[in-house]
Amino acid sequence: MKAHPQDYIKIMREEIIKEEQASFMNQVGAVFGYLTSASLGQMADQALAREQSVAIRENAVENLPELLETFEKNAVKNGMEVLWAADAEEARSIIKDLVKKHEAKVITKGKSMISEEIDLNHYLEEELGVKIYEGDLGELIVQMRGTPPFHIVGPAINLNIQQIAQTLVDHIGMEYTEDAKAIANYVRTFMRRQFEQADMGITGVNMAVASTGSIILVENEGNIRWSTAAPKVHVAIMSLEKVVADMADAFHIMEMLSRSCTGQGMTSYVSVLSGPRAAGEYDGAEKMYVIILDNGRSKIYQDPFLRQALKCIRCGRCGTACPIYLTVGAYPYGWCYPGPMGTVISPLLLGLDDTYNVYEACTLCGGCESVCPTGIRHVELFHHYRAMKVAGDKRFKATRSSFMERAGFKSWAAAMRSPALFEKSVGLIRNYLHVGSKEGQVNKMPGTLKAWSAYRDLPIAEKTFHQYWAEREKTSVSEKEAAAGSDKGGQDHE
Amino acid sequence: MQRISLFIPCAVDALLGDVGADTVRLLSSLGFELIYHAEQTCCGQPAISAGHVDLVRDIAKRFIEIFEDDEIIVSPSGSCVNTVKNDYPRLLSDEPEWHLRALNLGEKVYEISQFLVDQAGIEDVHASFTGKIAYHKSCHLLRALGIDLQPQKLLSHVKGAEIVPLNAAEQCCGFGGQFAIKYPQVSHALVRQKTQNFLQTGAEVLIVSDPGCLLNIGGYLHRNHPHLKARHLVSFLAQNLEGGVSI
Repeated sequence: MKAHPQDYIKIMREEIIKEEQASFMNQVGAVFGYLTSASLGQMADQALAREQSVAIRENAVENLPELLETFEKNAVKNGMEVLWAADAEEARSIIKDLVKKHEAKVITKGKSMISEEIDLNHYLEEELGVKIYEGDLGELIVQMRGTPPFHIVGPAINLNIQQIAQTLVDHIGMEYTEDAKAIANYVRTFMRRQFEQADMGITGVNMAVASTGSIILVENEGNIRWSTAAPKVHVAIMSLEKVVADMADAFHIMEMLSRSCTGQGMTSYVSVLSGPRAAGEYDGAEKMYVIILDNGRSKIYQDPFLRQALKCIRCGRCGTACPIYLTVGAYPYGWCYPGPMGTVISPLLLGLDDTYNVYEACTLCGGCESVCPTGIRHVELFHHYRAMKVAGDKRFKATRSSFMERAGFKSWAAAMRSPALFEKSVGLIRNYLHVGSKEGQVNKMPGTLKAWSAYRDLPIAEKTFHQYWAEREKTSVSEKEAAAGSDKGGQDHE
Repeated sequence: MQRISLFIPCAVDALLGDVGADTVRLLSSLGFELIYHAEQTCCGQPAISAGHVDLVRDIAKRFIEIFEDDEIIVSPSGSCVNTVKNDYPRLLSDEPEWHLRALNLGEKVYEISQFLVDQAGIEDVHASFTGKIAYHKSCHLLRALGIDLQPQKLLSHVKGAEIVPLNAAEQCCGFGGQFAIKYPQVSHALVRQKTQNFLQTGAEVLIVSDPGCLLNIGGYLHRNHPHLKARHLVSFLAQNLEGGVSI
């Protein structure tokens, strides 16, 4: 999909009034919270397991160049063809050439965020007129509806059964039914025909294993198994941070991914692919390509602090722990990465100016960080993005914050360094606020503060603490003078 | 008895002076001697959150100079304690001497429930209250400082108070400092959600531990459900002390 995070406010306003959606998403958040924590809780030593996944991903990201070289060497040895793409455009043109070369007319896909990132479906359909079918039920539904995935794991999680049924009626000729089982069976039969006639399967990669040159894909529906085994050609696209050192690392990450994502110890299907169909084998693609996409990630790698953004394994757990995502949904994020995961990666890939609201519209509550299986320090990272924006970090397309904003904070800072100025400012603010106050609550505020008082009052105590303390000191001194000699302890009277 | 230095956040000073007074009342009733450096201002968190970190280094150094000779520093705000404890050392990491001073100071700064339960070993402050209460887990207290049970232990000893479970107690109330002004619709949706969960408990008081949550939830309740109250933990304890310790 085309990125449009600049439209955050506009889309957020459209989405936030969908109260039913927000209320459903909050239930989703609670259910996933329960499922994933129960699942992680079943591990022999959950804290240790997390430490290990943090260490595995840290090691992978720190040694990215070496691991990628090793992976390429071993994958080539296994008979795969490895192609490198610097950006989305190059990746699309590589795939276009492959489609032409293999004369593919029908392509089935495994759900892949990287394919969304490079907007592959539209491009191939428009450029080559090929037919593309998403194999994952949820992704197929959003493909037909032309909307971005609502959640990276549950792309159609925001739709009700009526909307889903109608979409299938409109696009693939299903007879209207609200029977979920019947719907699933219809799509299953429909997709089976596409898998059987597909000339090419395109998938993402969950993990690339350097030491064995294998790629691993996890799923619950069997569609990825079909796309990788039935068509003659399999094209796998991975962003370059997907690599891990060895099988032990890969399987640990796989377990943490499944548990953090759907609460499963292991997904229904796990495909470990170590090369195309060999002589004597009866299934598997005859030709296998792995495209390694950079698209701005090596630039992130250059910065030792920002590098942690590459640790993400796309489990989506942060989303269901994020009050903002659960409230505004996926669409305001304006790209294929919704929720905190998008807040981590989008600003670095798309630039800090265009994604301003993505990282600003965050209360820094730390919900995401507390459930992240790879130890990304979200709050610190989001603080950092804001600071990069203020400073105008050219590397990530940030222009400096406005003169007015900087001047405002400078004078604020000056007041904070001087007790006299501070007290004076507090007094001025209180006088200003007192205009609309009654019963110790301000119910009307001017200027930008209207944004507050549109929805709520503002408590305002009768005295500042400075005043209270000064009076307490005075009383305490006079009391001590009055009752000289007697022990008053810590108590005094007003 | 230990001498406690009070770290009163700017929001408490300017708007919630009563929470500051209740902090004094509560700690005094427990026999602590209190000092207050009247030259303290703001810890700088608003500027850190807004990305103006360069401006905060001087504010942090000033804070360190004011407080570093104190034995123990206590604040009725987990959020501001987090700034001093966790953000200052990071902000000053390029200046070894200041970095060390920030770390040393951080060791002595406590959120009030954390101080009472973990440091002073006090769980029962001798308060009583008849009725149902619910507890909101403020974000920075819970996730930045790892303070979860301490406030609840203090509440569990309040005679007569029945603590009822709050659904999604750990979910953010939508304050977020400037966030509430910049994204009012989102902030509103979150505080409304928090309030709905509170209404479901049937409790009459919602206890919070951070001034930000109190401004937000308290202001929202006052506007929309005036019969219900949000109270800061220290205010709830201090105003329900047995024997009615006067100020």
